[in-house]
Amino acid sequence: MHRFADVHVTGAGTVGLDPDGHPVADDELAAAITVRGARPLARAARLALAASLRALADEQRLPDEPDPRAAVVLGTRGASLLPLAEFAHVADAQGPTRVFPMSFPNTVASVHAGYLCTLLRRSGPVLTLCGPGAGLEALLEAALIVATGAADDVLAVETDEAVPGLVDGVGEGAAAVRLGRGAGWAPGAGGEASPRHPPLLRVRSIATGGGPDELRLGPDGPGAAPTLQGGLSDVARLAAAGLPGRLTVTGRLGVRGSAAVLLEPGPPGVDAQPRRRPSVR
Amino acid sequence: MITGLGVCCPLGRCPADLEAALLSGRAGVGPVRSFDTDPFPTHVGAEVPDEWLPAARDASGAPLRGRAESLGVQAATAALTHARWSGGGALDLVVGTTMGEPTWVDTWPAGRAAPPLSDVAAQELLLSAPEHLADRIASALDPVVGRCSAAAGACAAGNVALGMALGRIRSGSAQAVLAGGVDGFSRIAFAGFSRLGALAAHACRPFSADRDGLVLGEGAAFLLVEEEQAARSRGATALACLSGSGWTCDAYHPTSPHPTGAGAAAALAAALRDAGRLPDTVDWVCAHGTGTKANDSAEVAALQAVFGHLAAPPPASSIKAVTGHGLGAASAIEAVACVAALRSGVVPPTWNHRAADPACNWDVLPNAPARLDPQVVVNQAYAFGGCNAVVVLERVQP
Repeated sequence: MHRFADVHVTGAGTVGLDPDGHPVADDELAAAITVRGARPLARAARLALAASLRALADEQRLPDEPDPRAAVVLGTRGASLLPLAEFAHVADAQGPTRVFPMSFPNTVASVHAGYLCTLLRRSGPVLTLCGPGAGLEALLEAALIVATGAADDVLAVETDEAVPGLVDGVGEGAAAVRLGRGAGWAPGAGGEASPRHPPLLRVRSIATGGGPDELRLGPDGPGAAPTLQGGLSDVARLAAAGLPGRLTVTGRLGVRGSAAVLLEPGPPGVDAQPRRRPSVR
Repeated sequence: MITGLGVCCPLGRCPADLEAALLSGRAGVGPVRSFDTDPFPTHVGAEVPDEWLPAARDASGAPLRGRAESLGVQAATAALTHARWSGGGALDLVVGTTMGEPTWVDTWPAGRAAPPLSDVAAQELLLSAPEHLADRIASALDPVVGRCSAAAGACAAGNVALGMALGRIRSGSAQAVLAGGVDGFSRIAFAGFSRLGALAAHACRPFSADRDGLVLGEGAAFLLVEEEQAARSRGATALACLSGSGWTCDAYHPTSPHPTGAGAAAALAAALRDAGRLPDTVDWVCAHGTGTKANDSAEVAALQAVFGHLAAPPPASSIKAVTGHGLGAASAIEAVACVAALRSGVVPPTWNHRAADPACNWDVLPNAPARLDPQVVVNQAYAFGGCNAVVVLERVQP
């Protein structure tokens, strides 16, 4: 059980994830990406970038220099699979010495996280996780990064494009949840509410286990609230919609495992600022 | 603390064989056997002996066991055996990798990759994912595995896995984590690195002025990381202490390191901070040292940024001249080498070094092992995406 005194959701965004399985329209995706330099990105990385930009929507402008206190944790099942198949196809059809060199990096999952860091100006910790529960695992690792002080501002992102057989029943898409410290936000803490990162939710605790029956729930843990079966995208949607009370989101964690995330409403009396997507010069 | 080591790489299938080769300079590099390299300008690689790998496909061509899986299962099983792990407690598994399981796509017949993918191709593509590799290794270790994670940390994946293990032990969410890295020798990776101009023509010569690239390798290594009291209570032998981890991103380029080494230096500094160690306590750096022009000069720039002010900065050496670059396995194999050095007091050199490079102005221990009697070592790894991961390992005091 991980208990967090000071980890808040400060932004959230989603792209796609259509329940009827429809893909994201290319023009919608292009319109959602408001930074330059996205052309080399694989489709899953572009989806992740679009969701991340929505989660960062209260930023007026991205920093000129990469921020060493800002981090990215990416979760995916198969972000590199179709780039791998395409690389193999070109090597097969035209010869291995004819493949475009910069198509190779997209066959490696960490590159997608690296692109997010580069385009979003984040040079703190970076981590890429794979698995059917990679989204919740990304949220867990992001919360740990904030809680341990390794970074102050962490994007937990889940993304997948429509790989045959991989995301059956759900459309391609991405979700991003921005985590940060709540210091200065809690009522009575004496700090002024920063207009840039209004907390939307508090991540109170995350219980983990090897399987659904192994979650070690404490008296103040995730078992103390109504439960929603879901993943990172559900946390993102809850953050955007607001939460009237405590809620536990449970789901798969990583390759094998399960997690229960106890969420609480953010501190009262803080109004979210008008949001628009960030840009760079 | 670290209580078990397992390795399967071109230099051997046990830590003692690895250590002996590293100290003697016996290289695992030779002509590539796995596939035809005629289309490529280079023909050398570092592969494990064929007899260590069972057949990947049956007579009908159906998948049996992938190359990465075979390597990973051997190393993971060996680590648990080395640790005398009885399976009595919960065990987490963290598998770091670059390519996942490349065997299936590597062995596709002509035309199978053509879009739209056939059902067979789509199914085998899914089998290539890092999550599937991790799940297959976990299945081989059942019933001991609880949580299982796949860390797609590319060439830093082994260190990423170790850092995740350290975080779980510290947070109390796990008492034992088997962490490491795996990658199989891959035609796709060979083609990719070749097209990037990163492969050496004949030999890997880290930090040498005449270096011309890396030698692609393969392998797997796992380390059992246990909470100290839990390990002592079951009578485990402490081999070394994993004391710190640092991750950063260059945020610069998908394949090239930042030329100033800024991100690498930040990861090194973060790892030392996490370990509660000052730079002057470090006795040896197990370098990433791939042998490419860009990597080695950026790595030395990072060393200069962190250690350059010291009167006696720690020497650094790269073992990739003899191991090849095992991609996701590389830093896990190097972590095993670090533990061996902490225990024996002798550190492996940088083999194949021929001429000093002004851009790599550092003591890289060329061509002869050194008795440094290290107490604290750092293990460096950098990866595609500008992802850097460094861990700190320390000698266990009796």
